[in-house]
Order: sequence, then C-alpha cells, then structure tokens
Amino acid sequence: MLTISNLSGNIDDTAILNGVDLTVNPGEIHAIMGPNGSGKSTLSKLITGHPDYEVTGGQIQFKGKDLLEMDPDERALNGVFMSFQYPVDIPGVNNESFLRMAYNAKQKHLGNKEVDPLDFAQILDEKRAIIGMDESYLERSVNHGFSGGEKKRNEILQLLVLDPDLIILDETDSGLDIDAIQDVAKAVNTFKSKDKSILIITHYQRILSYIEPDFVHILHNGKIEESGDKSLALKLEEQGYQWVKDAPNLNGDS
Amino acid sequence: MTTPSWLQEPPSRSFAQALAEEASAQLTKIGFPHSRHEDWRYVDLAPILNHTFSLAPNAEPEYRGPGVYLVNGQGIHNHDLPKGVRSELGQALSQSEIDPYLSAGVDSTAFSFINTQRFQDVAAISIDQNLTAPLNIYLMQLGDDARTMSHPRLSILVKEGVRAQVQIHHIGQSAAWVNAMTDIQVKENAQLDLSLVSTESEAIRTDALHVKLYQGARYQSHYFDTCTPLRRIDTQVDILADQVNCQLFGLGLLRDQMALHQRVHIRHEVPGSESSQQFKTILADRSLSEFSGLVSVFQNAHQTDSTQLNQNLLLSDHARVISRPQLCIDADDVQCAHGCTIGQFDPESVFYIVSRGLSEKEAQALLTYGFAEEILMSMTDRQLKESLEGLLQSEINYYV
Repeated sequence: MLTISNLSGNIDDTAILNGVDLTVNPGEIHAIMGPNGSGKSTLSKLITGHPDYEVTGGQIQFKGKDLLEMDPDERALNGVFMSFQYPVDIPGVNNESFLRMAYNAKQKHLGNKEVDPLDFAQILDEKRAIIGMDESYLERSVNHGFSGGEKKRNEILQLLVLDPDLIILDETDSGLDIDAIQDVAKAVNTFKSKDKSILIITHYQRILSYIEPDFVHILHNGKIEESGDKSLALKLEEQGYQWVKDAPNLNGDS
Repeated sequence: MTTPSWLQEPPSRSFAQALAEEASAQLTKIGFPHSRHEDWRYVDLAPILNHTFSLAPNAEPEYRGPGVYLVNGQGIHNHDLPKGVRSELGQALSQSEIDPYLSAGVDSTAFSFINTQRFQDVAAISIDQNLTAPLNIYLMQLGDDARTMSHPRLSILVKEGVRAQVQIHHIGQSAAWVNAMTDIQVKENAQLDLSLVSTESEAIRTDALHVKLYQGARYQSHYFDTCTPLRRIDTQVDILADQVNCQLFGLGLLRDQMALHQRVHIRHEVPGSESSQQFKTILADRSLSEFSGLVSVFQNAHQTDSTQLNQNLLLSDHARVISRPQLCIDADDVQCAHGCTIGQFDPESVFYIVSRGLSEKEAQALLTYGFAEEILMSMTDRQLKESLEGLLQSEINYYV
C-alpha cells in the first residue's frame, strides 16, 4: 500500500525528517509514536502533500505509484486521507454540501455517477450513525464553532464518506475525552479490512487500546529508531521517551 | 469644489418646499464633495463630474410583480400592494402629513441634500400590519443610454409592533446616475428587515439611508452590490431609545474598475441598545472598496453594545481596500469592538479542502463562496437569499 524509502523533508529550510523507511501493507495498522518535535506530523504532511513541507530526498510509493508526483487533491482522490490534528474552519460553507462535493469529486475520479443531494443524504445518514454525530452539525458551516471533539468526529465522518485506502490519524486523540476516543475508535474499527491501511500518529498509548496496531514505530530525530509490536507502546507509556533519547544504539547522534 | 452648473438650479415643486430650502442651506454650508473633504477623499467623482446629466423623462415601469415602482425618480406606481401597506404620493399629502416622513439629509452627505432639493415626488409608505411576504420596491432607471439622472425618494414607516420585510431593487440602464434617498422609521417594538439589492443596474448609484429606531425596534439590513463604476452608500442610523437592536450587513462583488464606498454612522443617543455591522467585499482586477464606519456613543448612552467588522478578500495585486472602522465613545459603561481584515486565501484552508479531493481552484471558489455566504446566511427571506446565492455561484469563477 505505502512504501516510504529514505524520506527526508524540511519545513522553512529546517530539516525535520532524515531518512525515514516505512512499509505499510494492506490490512495493517501502524502506529507512529515519538516525543514532541520528532517529525511525526511532518511525516503526515509529506504524505498528504502540504505545500509548506518540502521533500529533500527519498521516495513514497502508494499503490505502486509515485505519490510525490501527485498534487494533494490527486493523492486524496487516489485514496489517501488524513484526519487533521487541527481541522480547519470554513465559515459559510455548509458541512453537508462540502461532504457531498468531496464525495462527488471522488465518484467522478472513479468514473461513477455523481449523486444528488437527496441520495447523498441517505448515504450520509448511515455514516453519521457510525460516528454518532448529531444531524444539526450537517447544517452548520464546516467545523465552524464546533468543539474540539466535534471537529474530530467530523473528520471521521469525512473519512467514512470518502472511503479511502490509507488513513492517517494525525493525533486524532489529542484533546478528546475517553468517550470521544472510544467513539472515534469504534468508527475507525468499522473501517478496518484486508484492503485498507491505517497509520496512527499519537503521543499516547490510550487510543491504541481501542485501535490495536500491528506495528508500533518510534520516530526520533527524524528517523524511525525502533519498531515493534503493540508492547512497544506499553513500554513508552510506562517509561516515557527518555530511554529512546538516551539510548546510543538507537540514536545515531549520541 | 463648486456644484456643477447642471445641478445648481433645483426645479420647483409644489410641496415640501421648506425642506428643500433647508437642504439647500445645508448644501451651501458643507459644499459640493471634494477630495479635500475627509469623507470624500477616496471617491473619484469623475464619472459624475465629467458629464452633464439631465433629468430623465417619465416612463412606464417594467412589471416585475406586486410592489411599489419608482421610475426615473418621478413616476410612482403601486401594484397589488399587500394588506397592511399604504403607499401614497408625497405631493398628494398636506405638509403636516408629509413632514413626519422626511428628513433633509444624512450627516454631511451632499448627495442626500441634493436629493431633497430635487426629488419630484415621494413614495410615502406606511406599514401597519405584519407582512407575510416581503414588500418589493423597484427603483427603475429606464430609457436609452442617455446621460440622465434621477433622484428617487422613498420613505418607509413601520408602525408600532409591526413586523415587515422590504426589498429595494435598483434596476436600470448604465449611463445614468441614480441618486436615491430613503427615510426609514421603525417605531416602538416594530421590526424591519431591509434588503438593498443592486445587481441589475450598471448605473452610477449614490444611496443615502436615514434610519430612525424607536424603543424596542429591531432593524436588520443587507446591502448587496455588483457591477457599477461608482457606488456610494451613506447610512445614518439614529438609535433614539433603549432596547433597540440594529444589525447592518453588506456584501460587494467588485471587479474591473468598480468602486464601492460604504459609509456608515450609527448614533447611540440613549442607553441600553445594541448595534452590529459586518461589511464584506471580494475584489478582483483594479476595483476599490472603501469602508468608513463610525459608531458614536453619546455621553449618557451607557450599556451600549456595538460591534463593527469590515472584511475584504483581495484577489488581485491591483485592487485596493481602504478600511476605517471608527468609534467615538463619550460614555463609560459600554462594550464596543471594531476591526477590519484584508487578506487573500488562507493557505491552510486551501490545503484542508484539496486534501479532501477538490482541486485548488475549487478550493478557492469554495472559500470565496463561504466568505460571501456568511453574509447571505443571515438573510431572512429565503427566496431572495437563494437568488443571491445563485448569482454568487455564477459570478465566482471570475474571481478565482
């Protein structure tokens, strides 16, 4: 699904990633953990094509195609979706209309017929039930005036509607109470299948109790320093990141 | 600047002469607008001063549906007015009957006094029952492309406790100058939603609105402007009693060399009322937007709550925005806020939208639409709102 090879990247001429290698196969759930400033969000921005982030080396292959050759919208249409750490407000743009536009863009890309508002409302009702979002949020402007929790639910609603192949949850758990994390996890778990891949970027082990990863990677100093199974997340929860920072065999700079 | 010769001798009329004399005196005092006047510094009056405008002849209205028609500033026609609306010709009323409807002008706006000097008749409209549908008023400038001018005069009185919607539409030919003045009174506990729509006229348009709000009155207005070489709107709102709520909204879509000058003065003369202003423009090409808003809070007008916001989406390197939100506060216990924004598309917003599979151009169109829709979504009349949304949709690709 996703093969990242020796990826390096900058923001504002500051090197953040320094040779990341990562392979995510269909059906797998990977978690990327790491201390603040380790490059977790930069990795997600490079995968999705944020214009402020520059790839300085390496490759990203997605479903056999060169992802770095695609514009951000093409990446989305080809099946990449990121749930934003800080979803953006779009005042004046109706949430349901925005979802329908995005859904229809995808249908058009797939060569399918676009749906009209009435048919889309039915599709949306099913998806909305999965994430437990009140109907009133559809009539409001996208994320405008939403609480932090509702913004994250709205991200998951977009995810369910757009049905991507690779989802990146960029600190989706930050700022959520336990009930909201469980709701989000429940919705994401309905999405799991042998064809889909999930990349969870998080500081904390908590969300991984609900969306169980097959692999956990520790990103530090712009590289993946260690990979393991879910027990690695538990170790971080118990011991923090200091051992990662201190370990000379894990940290090439020490 | 002296008054152009073709504006110097007002035609005689048989009624409201005292008011005309008062307007003439005011005009003599303040003088014809000039770039040295602070309120006119950025207004290029060449589209008016470079020509000689003559009074437009009377003409038959183009029927658009029930409502009040003012054609070329002189012919006033009423068609199928709803129950509760009375529209009378000013010249048919006695002086004591017409006087309460009219004021000499707006602040120091010369064109409002010119209107008072020169209007040929007044549509004096009173509303004394709740309206279930909006009352439409059509300001029509009809004829060929001659350099004609008109000074349409309107007066709207909403009686105590009555709820009404009024929509004023500017319609007409492009070479004309339409200099309108509207007096509005919203009496105790009454409510008026006013829309002033100028999407079907390419004429030079100067509008002055003088609004008086009485105790418990609720007043909301929306101005929607496109396609004009020169557009100036002067709005003066006098808040005369407590528990008044006044909300002013404006939206301008500007392109080519259009210039929109929006001047607002809200006068909180007494304690305990609220006002808000939100004016937005979207600018392409070499267009110009000027917003000059002043909220005056008088000495005893405590517990005044007022906000003022001017937002501009600047989509061309050559377009210009001049924004002057101002406060003049002489009371201690008040909440007043004012501000302006001038900017381009937020790159994070564009990225968010394209990350959902829409193209960059679609993202920009959506953000532009959303920027404008924030104003339209506060409109109460669904039909007009949807019609303006349709217009916005059709125009938007020009801007992105």
